[in-house]
Amino acid sequence: MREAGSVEDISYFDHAATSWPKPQVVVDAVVHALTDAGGNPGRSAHAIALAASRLILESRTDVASLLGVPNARDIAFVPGCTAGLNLALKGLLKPGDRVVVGSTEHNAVARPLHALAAAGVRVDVVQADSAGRIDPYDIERAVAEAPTRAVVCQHASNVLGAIQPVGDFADIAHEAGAYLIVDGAQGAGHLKLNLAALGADAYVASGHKGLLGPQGVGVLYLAPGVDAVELMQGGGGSSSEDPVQPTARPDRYEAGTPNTPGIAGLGAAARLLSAEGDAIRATERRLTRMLHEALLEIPGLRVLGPPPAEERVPVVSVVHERVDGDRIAFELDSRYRIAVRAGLHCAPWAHATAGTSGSGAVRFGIGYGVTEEDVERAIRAMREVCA
Amino acid sequence: MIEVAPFIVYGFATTHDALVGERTLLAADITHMTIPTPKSLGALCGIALRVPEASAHDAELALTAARCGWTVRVQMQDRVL
Ligand SMILES: Cc1ncc(COP(=O)(O)O)c(C=O)c1O
Repeated sequence: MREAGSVEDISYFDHAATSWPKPQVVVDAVVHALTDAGGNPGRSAHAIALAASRLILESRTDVASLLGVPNARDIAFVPGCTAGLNLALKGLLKPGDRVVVGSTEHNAVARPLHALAAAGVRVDVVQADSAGRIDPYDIERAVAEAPTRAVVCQHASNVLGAIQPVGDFADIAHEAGAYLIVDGAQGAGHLKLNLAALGADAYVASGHKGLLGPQGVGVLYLAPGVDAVELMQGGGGSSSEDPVQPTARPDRYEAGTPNTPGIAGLGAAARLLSAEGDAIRATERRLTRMLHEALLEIPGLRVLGPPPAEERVPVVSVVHERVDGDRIAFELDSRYRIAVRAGLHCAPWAHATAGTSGSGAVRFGIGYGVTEEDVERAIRAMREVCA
Repeated sequence: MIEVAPFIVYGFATTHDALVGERTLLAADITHMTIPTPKSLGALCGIALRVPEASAHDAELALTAARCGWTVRVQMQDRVL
């Protein structure tokens, strides 16, 4: 069923970029925050500022509960996954350190690591197979080669859909005294998470993808005791006399006025996912497999990532041997009102791993609100466009 | 003569802690007010919790059980106008 605010005749398959339409409870929470709780949270103690502060407390508590984080103080709200990854990487790594990183990372990891490499961090890449899967043994071998400060990897690929065994990576990293830093942009929401059990030292997620919140807010989880240096200093309403940034969480990582409407929306999304996440994920899995299997039948079309029998996040990317990806995306949009994303998906490493650097791919990202009719419509359209 | 009952003000390091404290006192049905942190409490977050002295013991038990540690505890009195 479509939510209010949607453009009725669009079949939206760009959930891996951002989920849309947002659940009505998210829209309502944003409006409520702007209308009834528009003060500056943490700054003042008058009614309208307190209302904003309480919204943030509620969201932090509900996001922590959704993600399996026992202490909500370990959740920091950041402007997005990219911002959180920059904080985790630059806050934990220093010149002379070595990191081991997977070969399918998004530019949100690859570019900060490129900058850190220029500053003297050694970056060693562990090759995934062409479907994007990394063998834990390869991580183990890489970590054993030289002292390692951190293993960095995504939970799931935004191009290939492959899910990494991050729990195994955590054990390997910890055995070697290294951190595990996880880019959870495509994991959070689409995979059921218990971060306390998973073992990641830092787990970063976009609020606006599988977590179904608004754009402009992300989640940074730092395990207790993980002492990442903050990237920004500034006001937060606490300890104002002190010239140094407070070290208490979450204030340490939240300098400046937060995105209260976005955080309120994310809190509402977290409550929705806590209540209905299993059903939402089951639908996503079913529709992903349906689409995947049908696309495999289209002559000349290569489907990237693991085979349908293997678990993947709800992303299916394809390359046609004759028709360019941008052509396919344009025709799907203009002739069929189907929204997909063509190109490199900000993930040139993943495309290099899959052997699609030259062509890019067309990505179908499934998520909340996509129906079986949408998938049937996409399959019919793809048969025609690829004929 | 006007009697002015003393009260206890609890100051917290972060807004998060102060509001977890507020939530805890609400749940435990302990009379309290959420107030701007008095300057005299020092470098803290902007929100403090004010509890009548007679309820302070119960408040502290509840806050401790909720692992919501206050940073500063001060006894105060309202000014008489
Ligand atoms: C795997 C992955 N990591 C990081 C990001 C960056 O997320 P954001 O743009 O929300 O900061 C994305 C977004 O596409 C992604 O897919």
